[in-house]
Amino acid sequence: MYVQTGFLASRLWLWIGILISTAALVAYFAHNPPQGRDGSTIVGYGLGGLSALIVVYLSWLGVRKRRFASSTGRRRNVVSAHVFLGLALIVTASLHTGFEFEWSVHTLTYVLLMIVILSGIWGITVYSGLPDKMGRNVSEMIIEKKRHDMTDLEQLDEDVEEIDRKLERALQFLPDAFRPPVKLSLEKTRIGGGLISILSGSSKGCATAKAYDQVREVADQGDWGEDERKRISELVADMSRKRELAACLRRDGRYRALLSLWLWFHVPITVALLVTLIIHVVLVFFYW
Amino acid sequence: MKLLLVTIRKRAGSDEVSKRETILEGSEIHIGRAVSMEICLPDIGVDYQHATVEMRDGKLMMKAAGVGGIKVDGADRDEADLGTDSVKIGRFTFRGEPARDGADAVMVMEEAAAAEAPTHKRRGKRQLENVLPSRRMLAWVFSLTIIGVFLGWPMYDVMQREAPASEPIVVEGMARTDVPKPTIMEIAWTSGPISQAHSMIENDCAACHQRPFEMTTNNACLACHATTQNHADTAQHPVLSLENSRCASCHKEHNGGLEPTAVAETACFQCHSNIQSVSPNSKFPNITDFDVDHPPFKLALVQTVEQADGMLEPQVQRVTFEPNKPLIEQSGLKFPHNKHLQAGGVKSPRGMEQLNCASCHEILPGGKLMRTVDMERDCARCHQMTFNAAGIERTLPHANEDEVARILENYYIAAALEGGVTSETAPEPVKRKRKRRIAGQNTNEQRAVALSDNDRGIAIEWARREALVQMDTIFGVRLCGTCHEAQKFPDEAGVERWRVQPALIQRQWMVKGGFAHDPHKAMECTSCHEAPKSERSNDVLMPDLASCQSCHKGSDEPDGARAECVTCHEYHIDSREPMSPEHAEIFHARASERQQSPKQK
Repeated sequence: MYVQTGFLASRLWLWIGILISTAALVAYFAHNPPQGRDGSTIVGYGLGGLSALIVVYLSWLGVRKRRFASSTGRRRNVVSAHVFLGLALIVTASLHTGFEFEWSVHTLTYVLLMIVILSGIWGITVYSGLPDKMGRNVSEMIIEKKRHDMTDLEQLDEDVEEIDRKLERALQFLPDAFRPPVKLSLEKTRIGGGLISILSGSSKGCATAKAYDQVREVADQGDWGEDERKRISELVADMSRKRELAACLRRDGRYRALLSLWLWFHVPITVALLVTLIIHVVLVFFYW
Repeated sequence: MKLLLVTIRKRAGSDEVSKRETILEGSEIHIGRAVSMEICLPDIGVDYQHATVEMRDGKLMMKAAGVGGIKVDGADRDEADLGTDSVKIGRFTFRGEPARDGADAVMVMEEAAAAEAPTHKRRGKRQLENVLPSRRMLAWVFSLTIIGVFLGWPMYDVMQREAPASEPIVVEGMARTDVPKPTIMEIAWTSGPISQAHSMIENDCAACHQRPFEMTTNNACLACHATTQNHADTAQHPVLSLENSRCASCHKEHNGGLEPTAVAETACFQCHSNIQSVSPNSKFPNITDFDVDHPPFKLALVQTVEQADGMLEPQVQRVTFEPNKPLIEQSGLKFPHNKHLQAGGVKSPRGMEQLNCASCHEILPGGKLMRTVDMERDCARCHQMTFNAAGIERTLPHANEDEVARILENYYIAAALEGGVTSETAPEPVKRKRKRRIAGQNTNEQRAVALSDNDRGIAIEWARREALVQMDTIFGVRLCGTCHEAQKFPDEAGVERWRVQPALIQRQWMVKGGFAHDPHKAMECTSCHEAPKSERSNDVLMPDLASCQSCHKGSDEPDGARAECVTCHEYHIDSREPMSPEHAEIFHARASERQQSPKQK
């Protein structure tokens, strides 16, 4: 897989990750104590201690950087450390368990750690493709930037508002037959909403799309004068543009949600993991 | 009509009010959304043409024109008198006022602040932050849940348990049964399954974990293992680390298996890599690992001292097994392993028989030592103790010289007295045939009577002589002498008697190392014991240190067989004092009480 994402580019941390994993594997297979390979041997303590240190260090890095997408040099290195050390944790922590799992707070610690790492991998995956798609999605919809300090998204939001004003204004020149579709579009066009509709990003049942069809129907039925015809065709054009914009904004919302949904697993479970890790260590050393 | 329209606008979020007056003319004034209306209300709720205002009979009347209608005090009306009523159209309120400034009528239009623009509804929930609980909150919820469920709950359970007293306790009988079973959350604290050896206290957490957040104490272990012996003689070698060591630092529980695993390699080397540092008088060699500097084996060999009666008295001596210096011990046997194991087999009563190690040797139950070779069971299958004279076979007893002598003498005396012996060297009375015996009478008496006293003396003398000759063959050459060293030695009465040296077999050469044969079953016996090459029974067919090291490569070697100290050596040495004299004392006191109490009843 070709990863465009800059934060994976650091060779240094890649090699440190590989080094830690290899060293862990060598130590694990080299030491074969009578009670079997598990967390309570010299190597087991070593792997456990190392894993705990990495967990704490990565949590601290996570607090420090907060945002992932930035690509300034130093920060990119920090993210790279986070990713490759996190992946090495899969090896060190799994070997620390000795692959003995049962109903216990010790196994819970491992399970939480794996959830955190897997959600992190999920995060890397979305970051490696989505930002590009997201950028293209909005930039392709831009017709004209009114101000340079506005983002593409802000511009599109402005566009929708402007169209809404135009739609309302158009009604002052058009008979009541056009009022229901315009009202529908103005009042019922939803972008976002609940978790499901944000994540689906679907434009099925979009109010403006319906309104667009209704406006065209009304337009076909009447016998309109010159001035009205001009206004109707403007109305149709605005509706069509608003329909496109709404769909684009919904897609944008979906991309944004996908880009951050993993954090709702990664972050709170990391905190829970730190708590569980402390319980695990306390139990092991004070409750032999 | 000339209408003075007063427009009053209230701005949203402020008290500021703007007021504007306009003159409108026409017989009818139109109100609606359309820009073509005289009064244009730019509101989507207002009809294209919503209402008209006109003067009728000196009154200012408003009439509904569109579908929306007009409202007075919330009720729909077709028409309203603005002089008395206040009419609502959307967010606009209309009422009349007395005419002034030359106008026919005055109408006041108050515009309420516009409701929230519909576009605002669209904003809001487009981001996950708006629809999901905050990550900070989730972190709190998860963490507190885990603290409650996995720390608080089990800790509560642990606190409920009664902590035993901290002075030495010795448990009588089996484990406590009145303790509550560990709850599901208490089990969540355990780091692994308990070993089978401790399965009876599996449910009694407090048996070992006596007080919350205290490591398991020796006191807990000694409650059952009261008499466990110490490692060293602490009176002679006061070693602080022995007195302060925890049982659990070597014996690791919660690893499943048959018994707690003993982890001692590092603990052993702590002292034994420089034993003089903890025990200056110790004569033990220092050791850092099995494959590095383990001293050569010292074997307990049987050496002998000849006694006054010619017998060999065994004396066990520990002899260092130096490489290339074969070990010899005295066994009192003549047993060539090589002849017995030769290809093609050995002669046996059943024809040629191929022997192997297992024909005579087997591992004893327990898996450690070998069963000692037993004459009747192992040797006698081929080496039958039969004495064959005049076509009659008799089996002689093993390891009973006097009985053998008696049987032989009896046999020859009987033969001599019976007569008819065909041997050429026999005297005439022995060769002579006797009368047939008389039925119902004692045979010997009958025949004895038949011989003269002189002849009888000759016959018995011959029989005794013949028995001695036979004994020389049997003891010295044919039967006993095949395997044993045997010699004639005068007894107390000065009579020479055959004495056979019993086999002096060492059951265990390596007394300090608990070698077990069982784990080595998969190997060929001959890969350690060079029996097929051994010609003498004096050869000690033990492998040397290097032979063991070819598989047992040291405690840090992953590929090798186990080579921790405890693989071969015991930590708790049988002959030592108990680790905890207090516990042992209580234990023995209890034991003697138990022995006495049934008598009292």
